[in-house]
Amino acid sequence: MSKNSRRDFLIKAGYGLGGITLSGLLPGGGMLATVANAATLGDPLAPKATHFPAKVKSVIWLHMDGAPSTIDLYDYKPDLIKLAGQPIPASFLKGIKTSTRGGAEKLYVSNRTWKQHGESGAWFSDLLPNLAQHADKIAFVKSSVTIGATHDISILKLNTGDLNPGRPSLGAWIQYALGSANSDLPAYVVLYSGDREPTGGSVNWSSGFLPAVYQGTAFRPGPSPILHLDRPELIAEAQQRDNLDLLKRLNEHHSGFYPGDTELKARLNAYELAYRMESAAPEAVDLSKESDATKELYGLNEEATRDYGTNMLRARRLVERGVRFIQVVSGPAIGAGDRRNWDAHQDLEDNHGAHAKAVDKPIAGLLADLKARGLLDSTLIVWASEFGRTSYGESGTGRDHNPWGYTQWLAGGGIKAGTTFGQTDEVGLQAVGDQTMDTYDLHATVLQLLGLDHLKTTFLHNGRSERPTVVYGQVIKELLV
Amino acid sequence: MRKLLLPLIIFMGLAGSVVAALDEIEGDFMQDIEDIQKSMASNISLQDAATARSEAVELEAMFKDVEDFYVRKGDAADAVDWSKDSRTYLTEIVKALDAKNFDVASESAVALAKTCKACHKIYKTDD
Repeated sequence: MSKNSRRDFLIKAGYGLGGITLSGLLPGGGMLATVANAATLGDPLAPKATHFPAKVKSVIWLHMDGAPSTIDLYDYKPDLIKLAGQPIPASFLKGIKTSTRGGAEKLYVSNRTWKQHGESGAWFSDLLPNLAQHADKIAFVKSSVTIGATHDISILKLNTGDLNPGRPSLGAWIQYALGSANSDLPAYVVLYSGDREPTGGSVNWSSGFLPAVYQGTAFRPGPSPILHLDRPELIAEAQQRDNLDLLKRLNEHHSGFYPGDTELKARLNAYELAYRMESAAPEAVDLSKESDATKELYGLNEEATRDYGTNMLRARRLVERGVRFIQVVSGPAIGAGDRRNWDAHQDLEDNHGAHAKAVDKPIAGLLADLKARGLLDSTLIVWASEFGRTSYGESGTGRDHNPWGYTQWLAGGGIKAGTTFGQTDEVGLQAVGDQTMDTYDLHATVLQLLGLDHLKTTFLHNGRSERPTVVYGQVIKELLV
Repeated sequence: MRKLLLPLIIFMGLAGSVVAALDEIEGDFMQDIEDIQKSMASNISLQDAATARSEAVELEAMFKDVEDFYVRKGDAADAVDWSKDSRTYLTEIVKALDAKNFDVASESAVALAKTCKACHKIYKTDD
């Protein structure tokens, strides 16, 4: 919902539900798997059964927009420090194409200090001092791989599993497969900071070929998360309720003549959800009743951390209200120069200093708060990015894109905390060994924790059984308890 | 006339077999493999054993061509191994489908796809 308006919501939700109506007429009903068969045509967001017991109820998907250099955050490489300033040995480049931006320059090291933390001894750089205190809550994947292209394309892959628009995002698949746990809120919410939509835009929370009702709902920054959601000023609540009741009666009367027309029923559901969201959505993101200590925990008292901290605290509140998938896109950071995101082709020191500061305390606050409230065991937190950054430099002060080996992490329910899966080579450029994790594997693992078999979470589209992981995907069992 | 026809047919047959051997891996050929692979994965999911099986058999033959190509090309032992692995997975898929074991067939199809990605990382060109 790119424009975030109530009108858009109603129109698209109605079309989406109409899509279900049509797909329901196809062989297989459009809804194939046992999970989806629990759906009723009248309410596509009705809760549905999992394939097996779930470990978590909600996912907070932290997309680090622009691709941070994880060799400057988590993946400590003493050899990179030793070899800094030298051309990268050819042996490290075997099997990769470095032509994206003009080849490999000399190895580059930033001005970092490193320390091990927690009983796990996980390495953190000085850029993440607060998150480092939660080392033992985290399972690192230091061998993430993907397809490196432009940010837009690789972000699309991160969220949908494909390089081209058209496939559903992970959150949409989850909403489709599980339905909603809170009938007053969307089950899939996107949070972002700043005055513009995140890189790549709404295609990254699209429902793709799934019915549009499963797309993510972007909550804008500020007190009014969805444009025009508020009741018109001159209409009283009772008056609006009367209008909707009249509309409902008329529609029900009309649908009595066409019992097979579920689109009408679906449109009515969309009206009712929008009505319920009028109060539920603003309340969900209203932080006025949070304690001062909580606000401090998330960094709301500091300018540098306020925006991202607000989103982290909103994410916790959405988890408490049963939202299934919260996609949080990191945003602009004070002091990061003209770069809105982590994309440090130059001036990595300033860029990463600012962006790390913006997210470090808020994410640490989120982990601490979820733990304190007993929610960490039922929530999955994922640090993800479209790719990492190269160990060789660019422009003398930055790093290029690296899809061949970078770090992502998971924390929360069902996760084998304090562990590390996979590794990169001695300079942190490529994943080495058999333990690698592509986007599809990450998606399969997230779905597994939600109680969904990625191979059986399917939807019939154009005669083909489609699934979130396309034809790929293996659950990374080493990450799971 | 019949005396001439038989040698002509034999010649055309031999010529055809030479043409069938891959001189290079064409993008279209690999695209066909990818399309059939996606269709096979779908048919396994839909539990259409007969169609999925025929696709697995077709893919196995195509990967034999790929394997033969890399053997002839030389200096590509890893590609030969990946081709052989692919054929092994496809044989497993056929067996699983014969036993109506769609879960095993799905797992093998995922392993096949992963092998494709590993090979593409080294040998797929961007053009």
